[in-house]
Amino acid sequence: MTARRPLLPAALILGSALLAGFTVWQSLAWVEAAQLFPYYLGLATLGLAAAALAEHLIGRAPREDDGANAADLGGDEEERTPAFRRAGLVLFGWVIGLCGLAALVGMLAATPVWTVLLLRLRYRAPWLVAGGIAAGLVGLMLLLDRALMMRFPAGLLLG
Amino acid sequence: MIDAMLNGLAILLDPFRMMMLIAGVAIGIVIGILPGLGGLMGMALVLPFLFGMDPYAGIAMLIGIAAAVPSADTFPSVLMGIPGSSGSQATVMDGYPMARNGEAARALGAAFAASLIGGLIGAAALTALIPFARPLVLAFGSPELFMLAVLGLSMVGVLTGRRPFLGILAAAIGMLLGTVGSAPAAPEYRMAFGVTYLFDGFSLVIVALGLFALPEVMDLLAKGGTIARKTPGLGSGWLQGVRDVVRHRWLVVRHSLLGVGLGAIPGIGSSIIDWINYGAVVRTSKDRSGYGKGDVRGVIAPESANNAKEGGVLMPTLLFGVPGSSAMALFLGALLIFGVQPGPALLRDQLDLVFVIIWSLALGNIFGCLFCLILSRPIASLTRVPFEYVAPVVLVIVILAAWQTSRDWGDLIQLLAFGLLGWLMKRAEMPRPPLLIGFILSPLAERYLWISYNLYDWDWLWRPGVLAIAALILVLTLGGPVLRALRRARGAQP
Repeated sequence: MTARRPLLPAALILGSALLAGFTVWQSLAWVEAAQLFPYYLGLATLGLAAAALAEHLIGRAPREDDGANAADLGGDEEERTPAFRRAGLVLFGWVIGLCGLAALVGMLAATPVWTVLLLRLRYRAPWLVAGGIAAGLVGLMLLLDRALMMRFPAGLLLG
Repeated sequence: MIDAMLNGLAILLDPFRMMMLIAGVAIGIVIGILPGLGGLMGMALVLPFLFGMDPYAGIAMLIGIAAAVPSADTFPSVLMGIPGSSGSQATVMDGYPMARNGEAARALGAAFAASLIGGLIGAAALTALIPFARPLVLAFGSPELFMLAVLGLSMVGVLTGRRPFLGILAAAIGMLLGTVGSAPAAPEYRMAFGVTYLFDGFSLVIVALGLFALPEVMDLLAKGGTIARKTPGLGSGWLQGVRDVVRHRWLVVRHSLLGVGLGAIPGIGSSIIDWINYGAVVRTSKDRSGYGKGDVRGVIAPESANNAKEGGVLMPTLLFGVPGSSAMALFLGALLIFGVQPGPALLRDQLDLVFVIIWSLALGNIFGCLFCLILSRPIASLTRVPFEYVAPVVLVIVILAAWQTSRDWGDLIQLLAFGLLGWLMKRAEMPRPPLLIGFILSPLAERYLWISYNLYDWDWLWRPGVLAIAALILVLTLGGPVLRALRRARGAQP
């Protein structure tokens, strides 16, 4: 019996092919100097996507001794479980939440609120720790503002 | 020349100038530690304060920043898997796995010792080569620069891992994403759909932060616990890292010289130098099994090169007034503020000033690396703190760094989009570094290919420099497999 091949790589390959095809189609409307590079690159990418899909669907599963493993930061078995993926998506939702809150009330106000909520609701951190980290972050932001003249996103409701 | 060298040192040893050099180093360390910010930001920050300042002191301060950033940017790369600046992207590949294996202090020790030696070799090379650099820099026209971009792309072969087509596809997607925005050779805004924000294309800083920082933060938060997963301590410490550098001393020398050589070529960015060096060390190693899992050579090679390259980028800057990097463009501006006109006349009339710059580079590297070595143990202890306490700080800094790109909400949307892409790629085991390399090299490759074609038609393919780089690419990409096949064939003979 053969193991089921994961769907995500196939989805990414198909997404890449769509992007390449769209680029080729769009490039037909551009002047020659702007068109040449993306046009041929898009065609090559379509070919590569077909090869990658074939490699994924009919090639043998990769083995540990297949040569250099310097491709990316390696993940462990825990990272391949559905529960881990769900947790990752939930945390991504938290990051979107921080950006959304910053859009509403500004980064300086959103940061301590979000930090306390994350640490209290998700990690059950003691109030003192959550409050301390939130206060430290506000201090760091003020320091960056003063010392490096950094600017922060301003909110719709608060500046 | 010896007189000018000693005179330059005497000028720099003035207490106020030394203080400014150390202040520059301190600013460089802070900028380097903050993910996503680089030497350009540091120099831009102090530039307004240079008006009216003693020229030697101002120059020492700027060079102090340039020397310290490539050392300090190692902290976030090693400790959190987040590139500290564009010049420390490749350090993530082995530095971060070392931190997760409980060897953060060793990785930092090796990185700073390699940076120190690399920086000193860069300064020495600048001293030795500046009289002869003119023909080297002039030998690189658009065709040779295009071939260097291809050389960088050939490194993708190293970084594709066990699924070659998936990795090469990632590089092609990176190149396609790099074509978004204004075309280099025509008044055309590609794939911008009328959105003004996209006219400039995607930002390298945001793409790097999105692909590497957000997925790593989310994964560490999802796992819980600390960054160092194998040992509760910091491992065998930074002295072990220094010993690693001594053991691999020829590797340091080789990659420092490669860094100087590549740095001397205007238009080759620090990220390309970083990845070429990482690719080269993987390609030329007999035992590659440890790369990507925490091999100290994967830290030493790019770190030696990224400090040494500062000596290289100063060559075209001082010799021709052509900035060797974006940070050097600001440095050039500062020189003009002080009434110094870079060019061949600078070497003839103001050799003392040239040596003040070289001494500042050497001393800035020494101070920067010593400060970083001193800081490495306390900062490495962050890997023992539960990550949920560190994550809010990291996330906020990443968001703020992304926001500084153009202070537009598009920056944050772009960060989230590339963060999600990076997370999906990591789950699908599709390598992310090739995408980043393709993205970096795409505009360069397109621009230089178009200029070469316009100037020389296809005759540029026969230029000696082009052929030499093509041969180097062939040796680097095919040399290893051919040698292995020959060895196997020899071993199979009775």
